[in-house]
Amino acid sequence: MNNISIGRYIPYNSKIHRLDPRLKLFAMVLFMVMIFLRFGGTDTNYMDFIIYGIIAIVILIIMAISHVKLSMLFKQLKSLWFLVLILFIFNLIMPNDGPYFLIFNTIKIYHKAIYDTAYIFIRLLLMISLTMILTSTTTPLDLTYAIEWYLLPFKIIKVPTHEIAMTISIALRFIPTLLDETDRIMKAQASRGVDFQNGKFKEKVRAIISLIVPLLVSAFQRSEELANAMEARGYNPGAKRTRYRVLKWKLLDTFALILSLAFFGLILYICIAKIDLVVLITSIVG
Amino acid sequence: MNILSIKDLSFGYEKDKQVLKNISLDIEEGKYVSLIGHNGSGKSTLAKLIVGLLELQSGSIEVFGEVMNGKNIYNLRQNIGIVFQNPDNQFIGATVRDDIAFGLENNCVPHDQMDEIINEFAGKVNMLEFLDKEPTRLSGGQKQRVAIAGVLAMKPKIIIFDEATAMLDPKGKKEIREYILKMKQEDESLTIISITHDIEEAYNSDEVIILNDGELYLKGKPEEVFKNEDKLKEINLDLPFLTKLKNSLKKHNVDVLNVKTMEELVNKLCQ
Repeated sequence: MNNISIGRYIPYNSKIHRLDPRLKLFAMVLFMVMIFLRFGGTDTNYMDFIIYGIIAIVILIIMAISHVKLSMLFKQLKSLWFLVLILFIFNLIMPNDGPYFLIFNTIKIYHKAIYDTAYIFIRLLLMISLTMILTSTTTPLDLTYAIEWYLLPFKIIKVPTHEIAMTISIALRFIPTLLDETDRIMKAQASRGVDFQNGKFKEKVRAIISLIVPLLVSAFQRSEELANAMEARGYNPGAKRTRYRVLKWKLLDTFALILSLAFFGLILYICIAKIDLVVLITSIVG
Repeated sequence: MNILSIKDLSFGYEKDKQVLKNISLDIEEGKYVSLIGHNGSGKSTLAKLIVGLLELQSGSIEVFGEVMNGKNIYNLRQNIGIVFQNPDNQFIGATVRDDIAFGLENNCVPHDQMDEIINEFAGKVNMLEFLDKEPTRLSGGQKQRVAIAGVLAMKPKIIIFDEATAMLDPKGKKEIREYILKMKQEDESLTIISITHDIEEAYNSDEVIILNDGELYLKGKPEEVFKNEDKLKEINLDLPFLTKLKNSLKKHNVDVLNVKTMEELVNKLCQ
């Protein structure tokens, strides 16, 4: 139950770790937008890949600074190859035109199918590495505070931002506890003869139910006790309270903000002005 | 001075099933009170009523001379701390630090004072080196120590332990009990109400209250309460080891009825 690596915080004291979570969240949104931009026309497809290459290099630099290892990324990709396969098959059967390879005289593999698959795969890869950097350098709690900060404007229309943040942070706090509980219940049920691995679909469903029902019952019990404990320690949702964790904007954050905005501006300019980098470089060199 | 006085308290979760029946009792300031009784005798319900987690149905609870009602409950609660049984379900913060801070945040302690208070109380329960650890990486005993620190940090005048050691191993139990005794020594005026199944703990406290089936069964100093052997046997409660030993010795015509502690007994027997 402990092999969930997506979204796990990796304690380290790098510059990226120390950045303000609000900035990290904002920068991630900027990068996501960059990834979804389309460059060049249909005849200059290669521009997409050049820009993705540039973004990938920047991401690799960030990974190096934050001491996030590439091997972790590959671990997560293991679960992705199946998706890539499906994507490829889908692109194969889609009606296409243009240049193609021929196999067995009948099956045509269009260049575009390969291109589209690679295109989507690279996008996925970049997005996964971005979220991985964010979650492994930022504690879930800090992320919650950042989200709460971004939600602050909605307080005017009476969105309970503080309560939302509190709920998320408690949910995060209880994930490992409930995973332990799941493990315990599975062992208990297995010792009573429930088989979680083998059997027909119907039997498997029955096995899962024997896990979910006790888990839910215990979760509700926990929540009641937790609510009691919170209330006993003076928690009053509506009342004013002070904060222990306060986000502090530092000089490094301003620097990182300027850097990411500049990078975003550059990419956006290349996109809007439809600049062909290859043409540009050859013209400079020539 | 009575810090807590309960008058004619009755309570039931369902309409015609009373969990507590006409309980009246006073607790003096600075006493260590043990509340014992079988499962379902209403001990925890009584604790929840005192902290104001359950709404009063009939009778009244007076804390520091103030009658508890819906309006002053938040103020009164600041003076009453409670440590529950399950170490996991009362750990609110993401780390030890955050958990101790939770109560401080609720009491509107200014941000720059928090770290000092957290360090002070984490130190009192020897959890300083674990301040940044998550609850999953702590043992049950350590989590309960954090819970105690969290309660102490709010500087309550009454602390209720609702079977706080029931889910711990013997070592954890012993530790927690030592911390409770230590904090009692540090602050004489602190009132402790310990809900427990441990007869030995009850025997060593200032006062014992026995609940049976929602009724106040016996109340008084431990020496007096545990004299009523027949009454205790009637509801199947165990006797403290010392009492049992004294009784057995009496059968062999050894008169040790006046001794109060184990040490005295050993000394007397060695004479």
